[in-house]
Amino acid sequence: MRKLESRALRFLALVDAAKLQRIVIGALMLREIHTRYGRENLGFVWLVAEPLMFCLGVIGIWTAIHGRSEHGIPILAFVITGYIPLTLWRHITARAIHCFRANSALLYHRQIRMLDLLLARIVLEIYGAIIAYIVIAFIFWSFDLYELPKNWGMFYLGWFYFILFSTGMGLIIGSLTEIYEWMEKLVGPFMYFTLPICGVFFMVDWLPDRAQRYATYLPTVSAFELIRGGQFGNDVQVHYDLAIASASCAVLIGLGLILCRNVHRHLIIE
Amino acid sequence: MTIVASNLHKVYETQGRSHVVLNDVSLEVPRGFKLALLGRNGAGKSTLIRLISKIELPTRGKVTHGMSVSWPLGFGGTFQGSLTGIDNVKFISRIYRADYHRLRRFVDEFAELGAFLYQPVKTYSSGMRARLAFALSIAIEFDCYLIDEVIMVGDQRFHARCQEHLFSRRADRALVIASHDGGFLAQTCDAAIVLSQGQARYYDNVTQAVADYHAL
Repeated sequence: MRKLESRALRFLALVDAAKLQRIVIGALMLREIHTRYGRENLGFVWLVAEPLMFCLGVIGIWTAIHGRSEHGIPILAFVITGYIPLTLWRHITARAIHCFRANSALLYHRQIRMLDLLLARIVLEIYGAIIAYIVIAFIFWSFDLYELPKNWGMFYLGWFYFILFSTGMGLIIGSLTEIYEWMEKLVGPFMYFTLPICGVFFMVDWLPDRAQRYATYLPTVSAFELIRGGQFGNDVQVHYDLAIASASCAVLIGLGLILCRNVHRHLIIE
Repeated sequence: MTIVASNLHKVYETQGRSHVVLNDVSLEVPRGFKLALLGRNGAGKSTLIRLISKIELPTRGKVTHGMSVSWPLGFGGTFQGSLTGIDNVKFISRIYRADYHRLRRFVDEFAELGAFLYQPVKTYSSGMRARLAFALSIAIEFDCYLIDEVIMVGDQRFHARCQEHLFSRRADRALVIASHDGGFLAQTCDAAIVLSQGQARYYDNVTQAVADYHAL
């Protein structure tokens, strides 16, 4: 009986700890929103306006080069399904760099853990990307320029993988840039060189046969294929590898969590 | 219910050279105990406070908290300049799960910032900042308060209020105080540690510690 009681108490303590962590991350997110977007002007609008401008520009350029459709699918939806997840990845990366340094004094509040600082920024970016997608899609949809996804399950699954991937990258880059000063310099080239191969610009089906096999080794390619497969349904032929995507996202997040645990000893607090 | 720091070593690496700040420092703070930290500038008082607070990890050694330990009293470094005083009060009330209205009332009365409470912290004078920080750290109840140097902030009136809240109303709490004010420490503390060249010397007699410190 006593054993059962102590087990129940331990469980309750665990639930309470989880609740506190949620409160902490929420409070950090609110703080982040207020500091980044201010509260007087329309700061929060930028969350949507920035990717919207990005999309409009790219749509303009692509339409000028390729016309309104490419390989039989509408350019506009192709750009939206590519660029908004891409901005999520890029924003998470940018916000993760030196995230600990900027917030280190907050660790005086012992309920705030290193991971919370990073997660608050990552989750905020995820919300931002989702809101941006909904608003942008709604705007184009109301002008009859965008159709809703044909296969919602596939669409969500692609987003799910992209979010997992971006989170893992954020955890790793946030920790590494804190531990090694020079890491920050590598992030720019890394983001640039991965851009053409990450899958944002192409469907695997358009690639030569040999390249197709290798393309799905990249988790981002699978994620983009799923998002586009969900968007266009049977209009496109999709290639993806769920096993590789799952495994690599798990490895990235696992590695990120391990690194994040080790950052603390490298941190010098003012 | 004791804070135990055992065999703390802290080495900072700067420009390829390692600098030993603390070399095998141990201490214990039981419930209600008041410990003074003495030492010249750069002797490692602030580092020791940071290690006790667990915000920084020691190179070797271990700190365990058997009670709740405050952030350094009056430390305003956790404020975000573009947030208002109220935003910061809200943030603290959220993460410490303290009642916001009670907290705001307390800070309002204690720090006497008036309308400035609704202005961004970056517009505050250093005195106002310190008052806000002080009010917030006292508003949250801890078993042990860490105090790094600046206990003498604000004017006479504010000073008196701090004294009352910290040393009269919370006389049962433990304190770790780093200060140069020997007279004040001798009056307040039960024991002292004098830090010099990374080494710690422990004194049960604070007056003696202060005398030795001045002789350094």
